Amino acid sequence: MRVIGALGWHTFLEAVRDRILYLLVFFGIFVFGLSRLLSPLALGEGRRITIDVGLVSLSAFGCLLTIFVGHQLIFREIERKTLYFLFSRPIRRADFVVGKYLGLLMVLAVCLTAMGSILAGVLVLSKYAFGWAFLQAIFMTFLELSIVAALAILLASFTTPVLAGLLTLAAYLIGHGSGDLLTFLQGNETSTTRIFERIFAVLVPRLDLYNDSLPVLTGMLWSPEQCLYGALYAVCYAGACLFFATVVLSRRELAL
Amino acid sequence: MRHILELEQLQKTYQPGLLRKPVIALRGLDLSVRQGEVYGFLGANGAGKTTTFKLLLGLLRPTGGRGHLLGLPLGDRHARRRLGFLPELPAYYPHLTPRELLRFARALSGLKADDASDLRLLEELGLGALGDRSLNRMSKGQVQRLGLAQALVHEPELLILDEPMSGLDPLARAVVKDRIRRERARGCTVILSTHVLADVEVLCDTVGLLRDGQLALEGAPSELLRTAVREVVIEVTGAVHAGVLAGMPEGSTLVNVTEDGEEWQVKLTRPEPFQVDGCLRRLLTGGAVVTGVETRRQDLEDLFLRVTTGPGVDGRAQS
Repeated sequence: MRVIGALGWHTFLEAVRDRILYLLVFFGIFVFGLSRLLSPLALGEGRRITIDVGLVSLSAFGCLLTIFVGHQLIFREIERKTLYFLFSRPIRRADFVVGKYLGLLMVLAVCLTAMGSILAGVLVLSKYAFGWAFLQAIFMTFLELSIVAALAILLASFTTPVLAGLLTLAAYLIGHGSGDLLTFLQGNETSTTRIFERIFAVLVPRLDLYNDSLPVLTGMLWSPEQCLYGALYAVCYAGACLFFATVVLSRRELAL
Repeated sequence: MRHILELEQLQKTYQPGLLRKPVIALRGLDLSVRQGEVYGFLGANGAGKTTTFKLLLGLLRPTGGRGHLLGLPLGDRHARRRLGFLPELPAYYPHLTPRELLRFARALSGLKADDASDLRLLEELGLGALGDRSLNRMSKGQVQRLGLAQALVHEPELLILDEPMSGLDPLARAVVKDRIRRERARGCTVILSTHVLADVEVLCDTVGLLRDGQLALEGAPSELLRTAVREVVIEVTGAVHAGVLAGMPEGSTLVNVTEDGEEWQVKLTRPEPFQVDGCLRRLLTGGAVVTGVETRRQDLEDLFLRVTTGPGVDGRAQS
């Protein structure tokens, strides 16, 4: 655990010192500017627009952050030859993968907390009400991005950084429409669509499970079943990604 | 004495791509390193030294042969717990300070933080004042010494140093050489790869010379150099009879040192002992007065050049 903890802390520290947190400033300016710009045009729906756009921006900025940090986590160690420092020590490939993932989760946790606070600040300044469901929404976004982070690490284990970044972005975008696509496939049942449906259900992350601004708008909390299912799905999907990333890295020769 | 490292017919072939020719880096390397010795692992660029180190660390997998490191199979993580490695041209995380790097190295080795020991180690390597400076503001030589510090932080049983003198000034080289001697005195085994052959002569107990991915020569430096006489120069005064010269061994040359022909030098290149004896007898019986005999032995550099530029396994001389 000491090794995984050290790798995680180091990954977090590296992201922070790489000035990745500057993204928060952009987020703050973006959300504040957007709320000021759109609210007067929303014909009394300013609160709804601010919350909707704010939560979507939170998720999108979090995804960008995950891609920025995650897509080169492995390649960079090989490219700058720091892997000699790491792998001359008693660390397993699994320690390496899990440590990097934990570091990425730490970055996400800090950034989502900060971005959530900025959004809450904007809502307070605009005198828009929000309740505990807002905190739940932030937590669900964290679960969503924990899946994206695991996927980014899996893709980074066997592709180039650019390709890993693009594929992660594609998975994020498709993942948000995955519920609708599954419903579509289920409504047009043929033998071919059944195969597609199964492959789709297993491979594409169900990120739509985590994006629902309705509870925040209505003040109703997410049901415990929804939260539990979301958490379990995230743990299973991320666990599978990390497992396969470990398998790929264990089979790979890690030297230039 | 126990062997720390044993390699038997270790082979490694790189497959650069489907359409490219495979590159053979190691052709069957047999190597044994005894506990507590400093082993000089030499070879020209591309001979397979760094590939061997990568195989020892488990970063690469051998395509043939087998080996044991600290009694465990190559790449075993429990063996890695007991070794320290300084890579050639070491690179670390530029955002860290030396103290943070050593703390990180300790944690990765499963050890608790020990800032006092880290600071002492940095001071011993002349980096005490730089403990809180970020690595991207340090010189190449300073990073090189920090590389040695991170390899030593967990007091390893085996130290693998790939070009530890690279980029160091004479003062820093003296510090590193002293540290290698201290580690040997502590009982640590050191495998040292370097192109500074003068350092090898003074530091190493055994030298292995790698050529075309195989061990071409191995032995203690003193043994290798004792048996390798490069030249014998016999200084002679007085007129030398022409008939004497006719019977000299093949490869001998006569040099007139003074214009009046009173002082001569007979040079014998790589002579066998009986040839020196025969030459001396002929000179003495031919009326010459032998005033001195000088044996010029080859140094490690001569030996290195002779072994690495001779015909290789493919019949070609290596560059």
